Amino acid sequence: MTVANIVDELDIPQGTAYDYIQKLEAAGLVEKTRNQRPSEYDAESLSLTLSTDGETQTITPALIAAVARRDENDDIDIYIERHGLDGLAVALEYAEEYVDGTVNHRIAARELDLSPLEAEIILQALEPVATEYADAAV
Amino acid sequence: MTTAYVADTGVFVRCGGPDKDTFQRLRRALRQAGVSLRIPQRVYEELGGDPAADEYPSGNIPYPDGFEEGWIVVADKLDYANPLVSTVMDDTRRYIANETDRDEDHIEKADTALVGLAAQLLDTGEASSVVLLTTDKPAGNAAETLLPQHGFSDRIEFRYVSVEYLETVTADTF
Repeated sequence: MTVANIVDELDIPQGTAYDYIQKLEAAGLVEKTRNQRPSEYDAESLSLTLSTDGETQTITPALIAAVARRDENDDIDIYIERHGLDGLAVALEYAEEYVDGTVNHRIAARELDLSPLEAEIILQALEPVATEYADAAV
Repeated sequence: MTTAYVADTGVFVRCGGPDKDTFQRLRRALRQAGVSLRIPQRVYEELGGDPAADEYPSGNIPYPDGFEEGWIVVADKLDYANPLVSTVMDDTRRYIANETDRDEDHIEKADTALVGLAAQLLDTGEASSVVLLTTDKPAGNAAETLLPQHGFSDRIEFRYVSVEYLETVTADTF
């Protein structure tokens, strides 16, 4: 991805995009993959672990992608309102199993204490993210 | 030769809210083909059983229209006294437990009802073949694995109801 791609995608000024890229590169979150102009950058695989009050939550790229969908997917938005980001993170793990065929919405509903209908709604909403990140999962 | 189409909760969730054209597309295809979707009692209960799900766009499913227009019907109750139905449901429980790496005790009748209904339709001669429309991969795979073992080879088909499936469904699909 080039800086021009980012400018197009996010609709931000070019100077701001360069600024972000430099900060992300300095932090080791993106890597320059082409030195000739225009430079190209690749995102490094990201995993953040947050610990608060003894609770640990790993923020994976798939979870970030799932949360990013709440603007365009009202089912995800409402699920986050009802169950929080922690709830979404757990539902995403079930969505990965759902894609693999190792769980169904009824089992997920019982284990997550949801109605079968709500479980199926969130599993289907997260299915594209789980599918996209299935190969990247470690 | 009658083919029965058995539909699961996921089919209707996949249709999305009433403003989505996938619902209308499925409705049109079924009406043109003159086919009704049979839903197990469990699925009927799941569709209407959670008022909280109405908050979700995809929980606002206009399935009652399907009953009024006759292209969704609730299937007969499962006949547990029928030895084939109960055997297939027991086998399905073991199969799903294995596929999902759960204890058999953790698998309930709701999980096996789709396959049980398919067995009942075939055994009673109500249908000569059954198509399962579902997003429940463990149950779909169980049906395709187990029913042939009871003499129903080539008479059961599992169709995974993906977004693409509903976007391309026509009367010829049925």
